[in-house]
Amino acid sequence: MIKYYHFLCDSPLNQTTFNEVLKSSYHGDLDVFMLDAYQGYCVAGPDFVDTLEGVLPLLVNDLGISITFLVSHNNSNLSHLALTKANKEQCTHLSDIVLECIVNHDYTFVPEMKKEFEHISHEIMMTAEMFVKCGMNASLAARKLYVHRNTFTYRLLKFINQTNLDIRDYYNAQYFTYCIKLI
Amino acid sequence: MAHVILKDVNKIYDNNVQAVFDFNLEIQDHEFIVLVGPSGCGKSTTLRMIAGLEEITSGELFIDDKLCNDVQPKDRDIAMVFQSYALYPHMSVYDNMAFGLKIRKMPRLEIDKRVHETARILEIEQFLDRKPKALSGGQRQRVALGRAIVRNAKVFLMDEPLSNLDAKLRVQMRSEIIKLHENLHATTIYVTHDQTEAMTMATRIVVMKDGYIQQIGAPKEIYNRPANLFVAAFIGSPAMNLIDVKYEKGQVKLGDLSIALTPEHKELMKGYEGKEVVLGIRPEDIHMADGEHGKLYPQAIFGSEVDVAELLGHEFIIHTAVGGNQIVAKVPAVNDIRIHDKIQMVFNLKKTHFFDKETKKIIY
Repeated sequence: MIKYYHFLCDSPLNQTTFNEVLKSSYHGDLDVFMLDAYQGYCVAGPDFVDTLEGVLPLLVNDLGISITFLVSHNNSNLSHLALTKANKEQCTHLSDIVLECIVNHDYTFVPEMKKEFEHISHEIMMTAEMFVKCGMNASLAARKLYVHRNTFTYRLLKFINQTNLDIRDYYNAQYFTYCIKLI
Repeated sequence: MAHVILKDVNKIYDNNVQAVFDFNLEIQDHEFIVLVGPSGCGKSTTLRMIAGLEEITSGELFIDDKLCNDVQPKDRDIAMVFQSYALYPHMSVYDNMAFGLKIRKMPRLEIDKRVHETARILEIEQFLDRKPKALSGGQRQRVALGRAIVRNAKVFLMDEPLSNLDAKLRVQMRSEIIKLHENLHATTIYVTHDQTEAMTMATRIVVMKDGYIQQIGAPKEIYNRPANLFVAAFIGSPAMNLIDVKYEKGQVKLGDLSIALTPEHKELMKGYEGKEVVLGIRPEDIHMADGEHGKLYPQAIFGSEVDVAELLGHEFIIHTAVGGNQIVAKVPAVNDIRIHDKIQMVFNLKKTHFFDKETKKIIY
């Protein structure tokens, strides 16, 4: 599973140095993409968030910048919108930003959220919904849907491929739970 | 090294929460200033405004007479040390310390010289080839300090750098930081919630609460003459005893005890006739009555029963009551004191403070 680590900086980033810092701190595969001098995203495994949390104060100190990271499952408008709401110099998950917005009655992100699932068939959505409702227990979810475990797995993987939202991951499941309630 | 001035600085976040109110402070070159206060008092926010990591909503920040409100953090010539003693996990100690200089395009020989010199000062030369995972917490914190020192920055900013260390290591690192400051003469701004760190390390302390400065002064001044009830209770361990009393006709009434004040003190208490005030006295200023203080202030002798007696080796911390108010006293462990013992104690009236109950400010 890969994750997208969106970043936004308050001053222009030296891309070479930034890349060097991140790549030397992380043992896995990491790609850094700049959208402009202030923002971009990294693509890496889910464990990159641990590296980021350790490296953030160093980025602040060595590069003299204030930078914000948002962990998401894709590179969407919703992720960019959430990045602007994330806490500075922290690595925040998209699900946490969505929760904060809900608490503050800020539903500006809901239209973008709806777009993510517009093209997903009812059957596939039900599969995904049942999976999170059953506490990510695939066997239980399959029984509740009256389908074979293999059928369930096939449909779940279809959901994951079509949305890029791997709800077997805790934070992705949390995000999808909020989506079910809001869209 | 640098002279830092904060003038009428305020910080208001986008959600209209104000974190810092009218912050005014002038930090002289080479000073070791400590911002101390409870969580949420605005001390870290103030530090971050100095660093340039938070925008100053209003007010001015000068570093060496240069207005720095809109100067990028990397151009302010400051170095920060964090609570998390953050180090690059895959770099050696040498590379960790050199990295900041390398990205500033310093010549390799100069980098090498600075790293070795700093490592020598911090006694970590033997660890230069090691990775952070092979270091203890104290060693990592020294490397984090080293990363700041090699920069030869004008100002060092330290945000609770000892909070993640165990108690024994904290005491050791405290003295190391003090020695470093003596050696480097660096202007240092240090944030902590620990009043012991503030008292032992600072040339001056800034006590903060709810975004406001409560008092600025040298440790001794803050300790001996707290500006208000908050500073009185926050600084000192055990905390100052604060007791509601009534002032009438030159005397303070504390339950059955009536203490006549000296003529100088009566003069200072003018305007409080018949009013309730707060009596403040530190535990070490409450003595056993059979000593010299009993002879000096017989009017301040009271009898009480010991609720708890904690022996610390050379002294007792006694929990008792006077006039229905719980108090704590600190007395030398000359005689054995046990729970339920009936004892005679006396207030050292020379070290007694009074505070206005409404304004919370010190009367004397």
